[in-house]
Amino acid sequence: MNMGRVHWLYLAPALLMLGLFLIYPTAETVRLSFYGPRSDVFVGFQNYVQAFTSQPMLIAFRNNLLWLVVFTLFTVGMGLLLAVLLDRVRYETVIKSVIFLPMAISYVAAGVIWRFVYTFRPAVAPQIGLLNAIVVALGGNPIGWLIERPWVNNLALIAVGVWVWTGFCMVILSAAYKGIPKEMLEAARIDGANEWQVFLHVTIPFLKSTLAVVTTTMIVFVLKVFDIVYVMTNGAYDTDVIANRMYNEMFYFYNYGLASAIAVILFLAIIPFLVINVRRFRAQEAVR
Amino acid sequence: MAEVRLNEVTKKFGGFTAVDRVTLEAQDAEFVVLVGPSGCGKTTTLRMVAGLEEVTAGDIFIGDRRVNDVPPKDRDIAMVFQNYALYPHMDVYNNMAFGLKLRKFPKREIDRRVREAAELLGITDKLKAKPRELSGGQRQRVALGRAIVRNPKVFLFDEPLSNLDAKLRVRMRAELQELHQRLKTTTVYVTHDQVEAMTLGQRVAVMKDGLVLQYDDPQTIYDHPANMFVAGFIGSPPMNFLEARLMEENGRLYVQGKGFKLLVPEERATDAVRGYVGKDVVFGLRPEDIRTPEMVREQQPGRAFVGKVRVREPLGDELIVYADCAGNEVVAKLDPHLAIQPGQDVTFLAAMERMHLFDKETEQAIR
Repeated sequence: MNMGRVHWLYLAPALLMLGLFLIYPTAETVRLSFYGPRSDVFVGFQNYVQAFTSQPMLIAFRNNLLWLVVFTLFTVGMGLLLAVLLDRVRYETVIKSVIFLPMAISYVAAGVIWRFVYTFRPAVAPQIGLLNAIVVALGGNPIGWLIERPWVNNLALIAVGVWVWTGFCMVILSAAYKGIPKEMLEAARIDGANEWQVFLHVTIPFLKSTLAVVTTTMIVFVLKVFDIVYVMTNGAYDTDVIANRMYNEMFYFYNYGLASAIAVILFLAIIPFLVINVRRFRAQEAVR
Repeated sequence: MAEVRLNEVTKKFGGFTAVDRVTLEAQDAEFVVLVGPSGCGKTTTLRMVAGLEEVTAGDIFIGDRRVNDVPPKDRDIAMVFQNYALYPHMDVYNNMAFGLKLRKFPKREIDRRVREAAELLGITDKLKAKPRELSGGQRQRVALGRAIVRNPKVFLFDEPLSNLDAKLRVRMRAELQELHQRLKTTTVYVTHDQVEAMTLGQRVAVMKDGLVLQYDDPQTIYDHPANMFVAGFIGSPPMNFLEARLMEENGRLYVQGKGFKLLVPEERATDAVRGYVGKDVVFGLRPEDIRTPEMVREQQPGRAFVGKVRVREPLGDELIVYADCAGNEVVAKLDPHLAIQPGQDVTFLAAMERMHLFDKETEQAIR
């Protein structure tokens, strides 16, 4: 048998699956994004123009940017802080398990839980939401956590995401932190570094590649963020995000063209981070 | 430059006493070695001097200053670790410069010191390299360089040579000695290797179970070990220990055991030794203090015993012989040119003026 061709035989099943379920849908989505709502009229870049200019989409872009910055900063930052601080705590595993627990909950369930926490009743009625109950007990006025735009409600949604994902960042970073030779930290202390300088000059550089992987993973997630917003506000009061926009265009307004265009935009935005992530991961594996 | 003093220093981890009332002092410019088997508390002692472990009780002084509550960075010490603990993301230059930068030395001064140290250690061409590009010996030199550039009051070494291969270890040992002669910095050096302890230490503290069993210059420790542990730990092959009884016949003392009866020389029959007449003791004899008749010019009475050779190990410069003497195993270090074969009965002569006697109960030397 011709050995030059035989490898195609082995690759064929995998390529077939990839082509059928990955490449074809992607190509088809790109094609649809140049057609009208019912995929029958070619409209050129009109869907893209609308995606980048319509008011709801601009709000969604703004919110995604907010998610990108705040969510990533807090999940990675708090994950790192917890990883380093908990390393010195006696009941480390117990506390880490508790912080990691939300990862085991589906976003829909997390959304439902937090809707209860954020529930708002007018000042005259008894507050059944945990947060407002606390606010009122402390003598404040109840706050419409999911209503007050644009900062309170968006940040309240982001907080749910942070609650879910901080544990993940913490666990990955904690594993990397434990890989730091203790003598290296001690050497730095003897060299004259205080705890902050040890952290800045020794710990952070050592964790650099892990931090990069965790950060890009968070960014990829946050660009696609959907479930939390869909369950809790469905984009009301200016809390919409790109992925939720896409879902609504598709399944409420049956605008296949615009939904496809949004999907393509989202896809293109994520690619660079995916590439960074895969490269970093490969580099890390190569070191091992 | 400073002296280091430990006064009744104790370290407990929970209920476990790792270091038990250790009192030691290293004089200014002295090279002191802590040696002992693993778990004897030597590293913990060193880490307390460094400030990496808190002291449970007792005082540590560096110079005139009590440093118990002084953080490591303010103790003016430098430490070299077993695994070097270099910063992997910094090149050699910055590894050495890190401590100086933190102390806000001027750039030119840092540069001068780093280059000087690199010159001294022969790593000038490696200044731009990352630690992972270096061999074990080079990494060790960088770790040394990092300690040297700071010009600290005290060097602390924690088994710095044990990750190197045997040949390199011997060379680095000599280099360390040379370095100390040049810099004259007070040094505390921890090792489990008795050869390192003997060759490097101006004074050696032998530790076991958190206690300092003996603190003396190497030759004194070798010639006059304070107890059976020190006697057995220092020296290779280790000292022979034989169960024996001290007897007196016609005013002369004899050590008698299974298969031997040896005369105690007059000068060794001290009052302390005489006090053990009629009692069981442990008789110690170093392998090199056992000879054969061919090796001595004039034979003295009361020194001979017979053994059947079991194994011979010719090392070129010497011949190690394991013999069976009425059930006791005896190791002797002999002239390599002797025609001794396994299975042969050989007459051995004990250099009794160099014998050791130990109390059977307390294992302390009887002198």
